[in-house]
Amino acid sequence: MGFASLRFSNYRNLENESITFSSEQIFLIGENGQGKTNCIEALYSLCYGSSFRTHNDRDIIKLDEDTSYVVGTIVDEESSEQDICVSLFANKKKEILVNGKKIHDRKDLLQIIPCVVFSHDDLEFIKGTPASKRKFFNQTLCLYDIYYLDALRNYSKVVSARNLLLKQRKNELLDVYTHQVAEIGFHIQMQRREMIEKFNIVFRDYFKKVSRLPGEISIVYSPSWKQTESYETAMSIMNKSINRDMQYGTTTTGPHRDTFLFLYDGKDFCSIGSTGQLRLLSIILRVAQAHFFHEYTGKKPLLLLDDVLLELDKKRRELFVNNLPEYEQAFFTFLPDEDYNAFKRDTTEIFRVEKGRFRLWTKQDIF
Amino acid sequence: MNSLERLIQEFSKLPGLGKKSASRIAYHLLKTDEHKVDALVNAITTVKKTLKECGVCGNYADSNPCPLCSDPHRDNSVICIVEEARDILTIEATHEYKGLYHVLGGVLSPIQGIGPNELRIRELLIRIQPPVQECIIATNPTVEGDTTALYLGKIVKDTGIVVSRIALGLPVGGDIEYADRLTILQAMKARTRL
Repeated sequence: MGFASLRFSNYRNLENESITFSSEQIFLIGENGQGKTNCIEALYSLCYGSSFRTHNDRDIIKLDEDTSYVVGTIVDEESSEQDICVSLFANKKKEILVNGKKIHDRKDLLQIIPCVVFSHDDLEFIKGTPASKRKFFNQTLCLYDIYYLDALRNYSKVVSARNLLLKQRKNELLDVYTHQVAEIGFHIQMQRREMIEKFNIVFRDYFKKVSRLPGEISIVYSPSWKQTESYETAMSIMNKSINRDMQYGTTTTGPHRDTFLFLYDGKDFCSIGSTGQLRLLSIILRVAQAHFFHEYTGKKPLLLLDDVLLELDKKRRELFVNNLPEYEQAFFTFLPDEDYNAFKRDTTEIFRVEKGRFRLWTKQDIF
Repeated sequence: MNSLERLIQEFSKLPGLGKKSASRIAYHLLKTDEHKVDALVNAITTVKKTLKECGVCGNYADSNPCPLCSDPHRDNSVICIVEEARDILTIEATHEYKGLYHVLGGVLSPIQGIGPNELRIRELLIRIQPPVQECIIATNPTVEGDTTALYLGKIVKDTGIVVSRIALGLPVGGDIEYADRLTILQAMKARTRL
């Protein structure tokens, strides 16, 4: 089912209390600043071990406190329970415990409850830097293939080492690190290429259904190493740019310089799309991510939708909700004056969020 | 800080021991007979005083050169290169390998300031001469271990000696079903002809 309960302690503005859930669809209703997004952030941190809003744990810990934690209990189809606890400290690194045991690699957490979050910052994946675009597709690949994360970590290690050697002009080890960057980088490039082909099928389909735009959209992978058939060709590209690398003291080519383009009828969508259309595209991108995950792993993700419907017009809201991928559980946030009743199911649980407290609405509250 | 807290702090500095395990050991020692504690202290100080690094291979031993390097029955045409001295213990436990060893004392890691000069590579190159015919590189299958193997492969090959890397892949007695994708990929790459 997903999360059966949550317990907070000194977590942003949330009261130190527990909430229990017994539905696969949860609505959190409240004015701005009451704690809806904080709850979404806490859920995300239980899935990924980190926040999608800040890199600084101190921002999350309540003022004048030194520690904070969130504990979530997950229940699967066979009613088996798992407890995840993320503890944050003002003066030391965070701790993540699964069933009371500390985990040392966030990779172990990612596989417990895969999650897709829809947030305002997603627009960056469309019109942001190539690094933001890579972040989205790296996340998509990690959800689908956890070992891709190992390749990314190793790649980052060898590129950092090579950059240091270039800066220090230590040429003795340069060859070896060039080889490693080419080999691991080629592997990453192949995986990105393969993923984007499959992803495009899902993405195009949902773009057509939800955007109601007549043209064709496609995501084009633009790798830094063009026409690489094997790691040897990657190696020869790297060797050609060795003088430039030495001049700049950094590795100037490779998957860390890849980018992705969104083409609408062959034109860059970022240049022709309106702000609303770009925002819509970012939402479709997330829907496609969840669909892609479901289609290629057979598993259902947890969806966290933070004020997403607010930005869509009435028709697109309907299309969006009707075309949501299958999910294990979904948490939506709404403002009190939004027409959330139009999207709720019989089983939906609605919580009123006020000053960091959660109150389950009964039928009497609603009608 | 009292003496017990100091002991716990010292234990928690050891690899693999956290604060909880450290205090468990400290309290266990408090309950243990004094002569047993003395024996432990004695064992620790003796090992530190008597064990020396072998000038040839870098292993720890009571004598220099170590018993492995000075054993006339070992095959002195092969050298197995390992990251740490403790790796020798693991390989020796198999009783299968009869050649010599060379301890690097770590792996290449420019970010941590570990280059070829910080490892026992110069000592290795001095050893690579007849009767040595082959070097087996047994560094760990990590990105640092692989990079070190690549570098060693390159410089040892220049001397005309055969260089090999230990096979990487499925563990013997393991089950393919439980192997991760990278291990299977590696095992496929390093497959052998029957």
